[in-house]
Amino acid sequence: MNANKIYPWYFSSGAIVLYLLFIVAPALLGIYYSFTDWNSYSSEKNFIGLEHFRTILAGDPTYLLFIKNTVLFTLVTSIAKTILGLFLALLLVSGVKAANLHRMIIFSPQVLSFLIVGLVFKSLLDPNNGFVNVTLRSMGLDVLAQNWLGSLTWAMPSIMAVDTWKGMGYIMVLFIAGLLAIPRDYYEAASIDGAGFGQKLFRITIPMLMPTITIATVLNITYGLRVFDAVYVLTNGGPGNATDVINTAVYSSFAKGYWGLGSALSTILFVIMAIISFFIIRLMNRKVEY
Amino acid sequence: MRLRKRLASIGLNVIAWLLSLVVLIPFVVIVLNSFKSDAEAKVLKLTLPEKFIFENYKIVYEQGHLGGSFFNSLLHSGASSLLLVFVVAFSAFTLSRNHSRLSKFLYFFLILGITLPLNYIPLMEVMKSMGMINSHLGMILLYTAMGIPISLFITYAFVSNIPKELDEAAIMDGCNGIKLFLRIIVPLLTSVLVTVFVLNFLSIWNEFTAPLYMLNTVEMWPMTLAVYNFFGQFSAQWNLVSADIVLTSLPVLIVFLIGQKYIVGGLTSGAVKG
Amino acid sequence: MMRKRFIFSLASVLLLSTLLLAGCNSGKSTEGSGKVTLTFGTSQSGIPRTGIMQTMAKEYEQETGVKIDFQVVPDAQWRDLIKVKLASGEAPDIFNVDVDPLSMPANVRPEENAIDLTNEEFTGRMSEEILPTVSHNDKVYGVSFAPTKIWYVYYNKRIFQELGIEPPTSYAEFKAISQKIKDKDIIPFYQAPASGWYQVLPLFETGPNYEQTAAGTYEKLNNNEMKIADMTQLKTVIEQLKEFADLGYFGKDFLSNTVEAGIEAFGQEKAAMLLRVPGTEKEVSEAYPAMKDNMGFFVMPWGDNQTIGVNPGGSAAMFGNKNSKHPEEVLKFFRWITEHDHLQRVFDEGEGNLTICWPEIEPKLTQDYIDYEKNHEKGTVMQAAVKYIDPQWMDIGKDLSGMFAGAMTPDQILQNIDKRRAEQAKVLKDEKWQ
Repeated sequence: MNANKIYPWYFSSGAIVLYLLFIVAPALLGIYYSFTDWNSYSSEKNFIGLEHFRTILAGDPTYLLFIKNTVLFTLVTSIAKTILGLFLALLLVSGVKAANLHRMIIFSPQVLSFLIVGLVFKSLLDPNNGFVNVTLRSMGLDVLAQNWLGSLTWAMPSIMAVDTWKGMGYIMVLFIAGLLAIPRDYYEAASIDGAGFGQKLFRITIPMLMPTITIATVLNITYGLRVFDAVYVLTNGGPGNATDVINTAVYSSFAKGYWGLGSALSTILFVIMAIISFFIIRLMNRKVEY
Repeated sequence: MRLRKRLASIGLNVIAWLLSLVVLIPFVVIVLNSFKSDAEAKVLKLTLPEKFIFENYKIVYEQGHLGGSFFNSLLHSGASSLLLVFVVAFSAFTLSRNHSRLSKFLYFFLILGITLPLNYIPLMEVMKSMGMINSHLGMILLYTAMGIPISLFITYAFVSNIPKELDEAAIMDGCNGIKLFLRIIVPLLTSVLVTVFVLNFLSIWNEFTAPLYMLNTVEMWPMTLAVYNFFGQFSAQWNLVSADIVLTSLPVLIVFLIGQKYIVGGLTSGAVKG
Repeated sequence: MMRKRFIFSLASVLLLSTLLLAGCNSGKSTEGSGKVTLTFGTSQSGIPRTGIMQTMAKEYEQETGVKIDFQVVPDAQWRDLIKVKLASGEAPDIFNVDVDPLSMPANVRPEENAIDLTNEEFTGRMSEEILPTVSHNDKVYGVSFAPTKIWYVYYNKRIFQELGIEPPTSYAEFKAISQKIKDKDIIPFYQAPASGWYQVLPLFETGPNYEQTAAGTYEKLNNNEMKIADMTQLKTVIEQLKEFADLGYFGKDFLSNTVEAGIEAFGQEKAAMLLRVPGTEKEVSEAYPAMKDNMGFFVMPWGDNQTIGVNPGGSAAMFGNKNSKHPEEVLKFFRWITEHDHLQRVFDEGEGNLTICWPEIEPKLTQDYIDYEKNHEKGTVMQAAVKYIDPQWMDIGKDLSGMFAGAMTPDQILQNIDKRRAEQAKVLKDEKWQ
């Protein structure tokens, strides 16, 4: 049985062609631009080598702040979405009434674009008239009413909370698919052997879910590192630079017309993400083959 | 024992409803707001409108070019998600089964796309050189390409879980590549493929940066840009903006509702078979 | 099994037909049916929110059959988007951008991107002051409807009368009256950092004050003989803004205030003072009739300023895209919209500005404005005379917000301004910064 006849490589040709044209070509061009002084003020593109990279990696505290924020955002939202997604999936698969309805409701924020979500939450979180604070005050909980998007302590947590609200449904759906693929016989056999909920969870469910958990983790991490909409729409990196992440810095570089510098930042982000993803995928391949 | 189970069941139901409510409230606020008058809607509140003003929807529909842009969104999202499913299914199948070094390399090469940030300026240049700026075909192909890395990643994982014995049995029965694929593999992949379709449909529907750069005329704009245009002109009128949001979100909600059934159907039949 | 086959074939047919349809459609839109459509790209604040431009465009369509398609993008995105579109040759036929004499050439690159309007009849009718904002190398490229922009502090006369307050002429007086107003639970001065640009105005609109005290400041800054960080007066203004914030004179939780909400607060008499431009009286009293004849104004006393800062440009101007497929049609539209009667209409039905940069149109300045201007020194605002300030306006706004939130000091803000100036100078290969 000739593997190449049965699984011919040309089946993938469609994907490869599209990918090369629309993703790889622009990316290579972008990387090339990182080495030029290209900007919106002149049409020349002069090669300047590693100068942009030197500027960025010279240890300027603002750049370090972006990186710190990006990492913080990624870690917190990945963990939150995974735990909440799993919890919700378990809840809905365990025979709760109207599970379909709940699944639909919890997933639905995914349906909206962040532009819309941002507009809505900016209004809801307004410290003076926003729904959240008004409700807290009407319940006598004035103390809890904060300047959610405008204070140094609460801006980042607020962004992370809104992003989790929006994103947990997606992860939940993935986990539901994964959970439903676990054969019931395993659970029945375990029950007969006298296993309790905790044992079932940790001995059967989670090991069987490893592929799904890995997918969810990769998706969460790549989303977190590349996050832009959430931060831009809610606070635009404010107050000051407190919530700026790498991609908002890239965007403001581009917006100012510093296209070479922006491309360089983008390239650095790509390298970081490629390295991290490579390690995660390597880990996954090992785990699945047991 | 029975009582415990009962309490646990009720407890779970309560938690489910509480969580759903938390998610639901912002939506309710928007919908209520879309029927309010200008003055009432200055700030988003969870109160019933004095009068249900349906004209808001009419204004939004006319001023926001919603008819044409709906068709554009539908075309872009639908066609590219379909194309994506085809392309990804074929690729995931061969790349995961064929254990040659070339396949492994191609797979990782394509997956790398998950990490690649999109730089719109070179992208514009590339698309321009292909004559794909401001064209439906260009957008569809672009969206398909954008969706390949993650969709391939997910589908590949699921294909790997289909036991190879099935393949071998089919081959012994005389199937070649494409027959094996269509008769055996695809049916088992239905739930994943539907999931891929739905998830991509949603993300493309909400895509607004790509069309902002690649589409030049208002006739080509999808609904997200129409909202933008609308918001640009009527930013302070929350009642109209809310109506716009409702109209833009309804189609995707419907797609999700329909897609939901298939996901459940596919998955339960898979579980029953074991 | 059969069902799956059916679905599969249906799906492929659908896909094929949509792709064919898409392919045909793209072809069709470029051929057109003989009717010309001009695309008009602009930011939210670039055209009057009263919709007068769109209305007149419809009339133009009825007269000439040429349709004008408006693409309105929120401010923040537009600045970036138009640069990209110009660079790639995909810009709309007409584009509206914010201009000032210093940064227009770099932002718009008119020699490559804009239609030369120098020999058009209407060019000679625009005011002298506005020409630098729309010209480069002695050629005119843009059409402007800008008013002479002056920012005043508008105040609620009734509240002032009740509290026995007079308009302040120094910072100390400004502080004192604000305290009195605050004691009455009214917001003394409405600040709107959430809009991103509003909080920056006091820094540079009071520019003539800096020039008055230390003549030649503008020139030194442009020759890189002096740094922003050296300007003690500017630092004072920033510190005064912080003081007002800390003393609660901007109101509670003001960081998320927007300019639109400010007009509402002022109109509802919840705020006593608001920074605005002439024409505000019409805007506010139309929405809040109780405020008619209840508004007075004075120059902003930050840094003890008593000068009137004039911005000759600072608004949006229309440019024709040199690479447009219909340059003649664009010119025809420009000629139409600059006919006297049409100019008058834009002026009358726009946002209530009191002046316009076309001398043939009577300004609507009331006597109190004319008198006030007679009694006070006028000068050019700093952002229209000093290089590399205007492009970083929103960044400075962000820094100021950070300062209000306690994340930045005035010194750091000044250093950042210098840093960004140096960055831009380097990119533009400004010899003074080599």
